[in-house]
This record gives sequence, structure tokens and C-alpha cells, in this order.
Amino acid sequence: MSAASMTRQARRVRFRYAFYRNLGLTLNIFPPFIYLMLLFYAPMAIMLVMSFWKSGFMTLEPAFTLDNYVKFFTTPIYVRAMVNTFLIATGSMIALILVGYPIAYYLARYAPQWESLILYFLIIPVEINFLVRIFAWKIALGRSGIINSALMSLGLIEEPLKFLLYSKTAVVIVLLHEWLPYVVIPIYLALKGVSPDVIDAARTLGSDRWSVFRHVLLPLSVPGLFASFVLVYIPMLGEFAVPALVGGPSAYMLGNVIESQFLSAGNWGVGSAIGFILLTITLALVAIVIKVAGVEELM
Amino acid sequence: MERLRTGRFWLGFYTLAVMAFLIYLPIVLLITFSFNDSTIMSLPWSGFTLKWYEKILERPDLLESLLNSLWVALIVTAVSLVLGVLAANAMARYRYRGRILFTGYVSIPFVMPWLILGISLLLFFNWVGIQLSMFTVILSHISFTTPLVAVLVAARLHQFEPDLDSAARDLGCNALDAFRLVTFPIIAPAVIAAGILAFNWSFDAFVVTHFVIGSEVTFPIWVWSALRYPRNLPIINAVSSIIIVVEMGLIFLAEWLRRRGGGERLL
Repeated sequence: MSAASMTRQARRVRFRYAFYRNLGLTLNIFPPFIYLMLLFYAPMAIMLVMSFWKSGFMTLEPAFTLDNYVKFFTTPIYVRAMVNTFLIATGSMIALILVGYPIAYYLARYAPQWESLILYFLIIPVEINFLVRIFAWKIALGRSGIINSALMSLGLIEEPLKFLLYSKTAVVIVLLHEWLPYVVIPIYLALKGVSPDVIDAARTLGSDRWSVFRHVLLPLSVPGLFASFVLVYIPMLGEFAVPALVGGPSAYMLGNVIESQFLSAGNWGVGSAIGFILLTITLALVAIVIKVAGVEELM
Repeated sequence: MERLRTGRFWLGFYTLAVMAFLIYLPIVLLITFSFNDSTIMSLPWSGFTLKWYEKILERPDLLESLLNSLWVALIVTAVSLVLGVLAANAMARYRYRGRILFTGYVSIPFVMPWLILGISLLLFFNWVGIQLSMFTVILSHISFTTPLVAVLVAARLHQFEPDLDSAARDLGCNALDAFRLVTFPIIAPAVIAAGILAFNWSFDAFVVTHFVIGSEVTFPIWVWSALRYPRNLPIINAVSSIIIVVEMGLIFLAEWLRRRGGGERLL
């Protein structure tokens, strides 16, 4: 066989390879692309468009008006719901990191024999229906609930603590319960990924345990913190079942306003506008995290 | 050394205390009160009973909702595994312009609050003129389980050399064989884990379902409406207790199988 025909054959093989490769890529891309286009992106676009439509009770007419947005920003209860949402979500996020970080640290550094057992017990409740777990908290937090009964029988309080249920406190407690595993596990994975050699090196060079934590472990766990922020803070902004069941009117969040616009107040235009505001906030937060942390850190 | 040991002790103590009070207290109460002979869930204890468990069988609506959730979750899992693995292939096995863009395209639904997905799908079905039913529930669930599967499987694919696939192709495999014989065995643990998670997400999905379900009922929807009637509450306790025990059993079974088979961790 001549050299020329060999290269020709090689070229043909390479061409055929490239063709099938592209065909494979196309077949892989298209089904999920089209599905998400139809059942994720198109609905989002429709929500955006309808947020500008003229909207009344159970009516929605094509138009271009900012009325729905104006109505949202000028109605005090809606604005208060937005303030509540940020207060509750931010407060819970800070509390989650403060509560969860030591647990992640313990799991990653100090508990080789208990590590997987504790992780299992952290993950198991996630498998239990969330509404059921919110309801379980009502048993614990109610006026004659277990916590009040216990505190009263110990003589620590004379009357039931009213702020335990139907309050912002209750919402924060249930959110801590719901999201703790999602905060602990990414931080745990980040800390687990730190090579023991790095820590030994720091120790050898004279760092005490605090400065090892402050200058080595904490900076290296930042990707875990970002991951838990994306996993937890954003969904908390869209929460509505928790405030509806344990929060009461004083703890109503944006989610409750949106839900009632769609399912009881019948004003879909205002609901869409609030939904779109929440969507914009979500994408902005994700963009900030990607900008600060870098895509590679999160993937 | 002494300080290190006490530090470890207190951290361990702290971990157990948080797990006990923040994670397990309500679950233990829930199971305990499913045996309490009263519709009011507070102390003092009114006596032991199994009647709430018997009442489950008298509630055909509850059993139907469980069955509905089960078959919805099975269909959703099957479809989203196919779509998700395809998406993961495109995200991790090929190099092309627009790969990052496609990755973002598939990942954005993963971070979108479910509430927003729920209302936008409600608007969409209404606008297109599709009657709300179990079918719209299934379509909606697939929108959030597909990105879940894609992200998990792509993460696994990123860990292995893309060259392995090319090597199989060079050695004469066609694309399908290369996937079946080389790639799939590598991603199988991630696919199984993603399938389990997708099933759970669909079975427990309340927020999205709340907006796109018509007159039919899935289990979370049943719980949501049952929560409004106090006489139902102990039955919710009983059925949840059963589900908790079954799920803990399944997790330990999966773990036991994994250890026995010497396979990779699922969780």
C-alpha cells in the first residue's frame, strides 16, 4: 500500500469518526435541550410576558403595563413580606453556617470511626416527606407542645412560650431543621478534600490549631460555603410551606404572597411579577457566586 | 494532647446534641404520638393505641394518593434518567464550542426555586390549553429531576479520562458499544444514586405539584389538605411513621447490598 493511499484512508477514518462523534453529540444534546426549552424556559418566558399584562381578579389580558410591579412595590403587606423573606432567609443562613460548620469540621477531622454513621443519620431525615416534618415541629413547638410542657414541668417558665409557634422564630427553627444537612455536607466535603500533608506542614511551621483553622482550613472550605449558599439560601427565598404552616401572618414571606395570588386571590399578573422579581434575584445571586468563586469551584 | 482530646469530645457532644434536638426530636415525637390515644398531640399521654394504623386502611383516598405518587415517581425517574444521562454526556464527554453554555442551560433549573417553576408551569399549561392532571404533574417533575440527574452524572463523568471512550472507539467499538461497555459501567453508581434521588424528589414533591395538579391527589397533596382537619392528624402520624421506618430500612438495605457487593458508595 502506498503512503498516499494510507493517508487517504486515515483521513477517511478520521472523517467518519468526526461525523459519528458529531452525530452522537447532537443526539445527546437535543432531547434534553428541547424538553427544558418547552417545560422550563418557555414557561419562564411566559411568566415574564404575563407579568406585564393587564391583570384583575381572575382576568389577564395582553397589554404592556408596569401596573403589576407598581402594585407590588406600593402594597405595604407585599413589601413587608419581601423584607421578612430577606430577614428570615439571611438570619437562617447565618445560623445554619454557625451551627453546621462545627459539625462538618468534626466529621471531616475528628470522627473517622463515626463519620459514615453520622452522615447516614444526617441524610435519612431528608428522605422523609418535608410536609410531614414541618407538621412534626408543630407537635414540638405548640402552646401545649412538648417543649413548653417540658419547660413548665421543670419550673423554668410559668406560662407557655407563645413565640415558639406561629412566629418568625418557628420558621427559622424549621428551616434550620430542613437545611442543616445541605449546609453540613458541602462544607464537610470541602474540609475532607484538604490534604493532611497541608495541615502537617502548617503545624510543622509553627501554627497552633487556631491559626491552622484560620489560615488553612477556613480558606480551603470556602468553595463548600459557596455550594451550601447556592443549595440553601436560594430555595429559602422561595419558601412558602414553612411560613404557611408554622409562621402565621407575622412571618409571611414572598412565597406566601405568590401562592395566594395564584391559588386564592386570583391575580396572576401580580403573582407573575413577584415571581419574576424572585427569579431575577436568584439569577443575580448565582451570577455573583460564580463571579466570586469561579465556575470550576462549584462544578 | 489533652486539649485536643477535650476539644474532640466537646465537638462530638455538640454534634450529637444538635442532631438529637434539631433533626430527630420532631421525628421521634411524630412516631411516639402515632401510638397516642387522642387527636390532640400534647402531654399528658392518653394511652397506647394502634387504632390510627388501622384507620389508614379505612382511607381509600390516602392509599390512592400513595399509589399515585408511586407510579408518577417511577415514570418521572425513568424519563429523567434517560434525558439526564444524555445531557450529562453532552456536558462532559464532548469538547465543543458552547459546552459551558449548554452546562449552564441544564444547570439553571437546578438552582431555580420550585415555587417559580410551579407558577410558571401553571401559566404555561393554562396558556397552551393543557388540562391540569397527573400528566401535567409528570411533565413538571421531569423538568426538575432531569437537571438533577444531569448534574450528578456529569460530575462522575468529569472524574474519568475522556480518552477511555476514544480508546474504545479506536479499538473498533461503535458509539453505542463504547457507551455500553466502557462509559456506562463507570457512571453506573452515579446513575443509580441519581435515580434514587430523582425518585425521592418526585415522590415528595409538594411545591411544584401544588400548582400543576388538577383534582387528583398525590401523597404530599393529601398531607397538605389533611393538615387542615385535626381529626386527620394522628393518621398522618401513623402513615408517616410507616414511611420513615420503610425508608430507613431501604437505606440500610442499599448500604448492606453495597458492602456485600463491594461496590461504590451510593450516598
